[in-house]
Amino acid sequence: MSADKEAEFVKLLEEHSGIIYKVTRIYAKGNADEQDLRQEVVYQAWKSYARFKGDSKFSTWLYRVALNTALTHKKKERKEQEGFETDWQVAPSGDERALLMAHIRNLNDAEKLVIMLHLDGYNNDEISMISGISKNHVAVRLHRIKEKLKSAIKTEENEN
Amino acid sequence: MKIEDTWKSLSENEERLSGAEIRAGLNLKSEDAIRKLNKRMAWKIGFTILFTPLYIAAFFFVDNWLPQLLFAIITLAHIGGLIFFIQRYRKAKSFDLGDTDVRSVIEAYIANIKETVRQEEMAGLILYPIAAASGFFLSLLQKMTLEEALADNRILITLLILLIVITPISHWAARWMNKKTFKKYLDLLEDRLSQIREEP
Repeated sequence: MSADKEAEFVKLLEEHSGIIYKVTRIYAKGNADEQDLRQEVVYQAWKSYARFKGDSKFSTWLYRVALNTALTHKKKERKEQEGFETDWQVAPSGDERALLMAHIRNLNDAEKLVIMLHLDGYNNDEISMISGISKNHVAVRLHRIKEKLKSAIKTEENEN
Repeated sequence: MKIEDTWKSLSENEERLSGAEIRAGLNLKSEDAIRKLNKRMAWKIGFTILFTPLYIAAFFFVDNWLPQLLFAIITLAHIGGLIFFIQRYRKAKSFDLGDTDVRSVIEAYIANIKETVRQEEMAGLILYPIAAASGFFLSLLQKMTLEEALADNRILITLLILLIVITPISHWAARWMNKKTFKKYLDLLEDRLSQIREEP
């Protein structure tokens, strides 16, 4: 790819890198793994960028690449590091954002994906398109996940 | 806590990747190529270690000064080659793409690999005739004495033809093997280098 294309890609990715941070923070097993995964997402996005024709928004496309990379990376990691504990810090009590992240990380892979896209403002059609889950199923899942999160957060708050 | 509000505040405070971090990600393929090339350099060390004892054994197997001399030359050349490959491998391992000047690192890395391969092929040009002659005499001396062999013109002409044929074929085979082993990854690095050179 040409230097212009590379500069354009770097600029776009800089603007939308919040997506990469969110996905990697939720799917990575620890701080070191998060950094590796972030680099892997950047590389995979760069590799696939030639095929990005602008049919969808760049952010939607990037979400898809980041999620696919994260899920593939997780499978690989699981094989390589079975039995290793994660090195994530426990969310400090009172920090709502860290607490929310911790609870989202506890969800399964599909649930993480659905709630993250929903919270980032994607509608059910778009979530269905990105995740491959049927539209009706997205709505049902979303409801369940929200209930699950609320209940987990409430329990935590009551304990503190 | 309202999930949506907390997420929004999280997104607003989310970190951003810098251009430098993104460009480091783009170099992943180059890093991978370098890892693979280093591994292939290590193979060269492995093969040299594997073959050297065979020539040493052959040296003790024959009881004639000429093949012994030829095997001694080959053994010494292998030991020299082993030292050379280890030095080049250590140099190859010392390159770090995390360095700020990625262009210079890739240029120097490619130069190191190409120079290693070139010197190996040049040394091979000297060694192939010696190796061929040693094998020739090794089998010949099972049937006759060295004096008888050296006195027979037909044998000397056969040896000459053998050397003329074997040397270019071996050289071509070595080049082909090096191309198979290194070219794909060197091309990847050259591609990355062209992209970096084009950058404003």
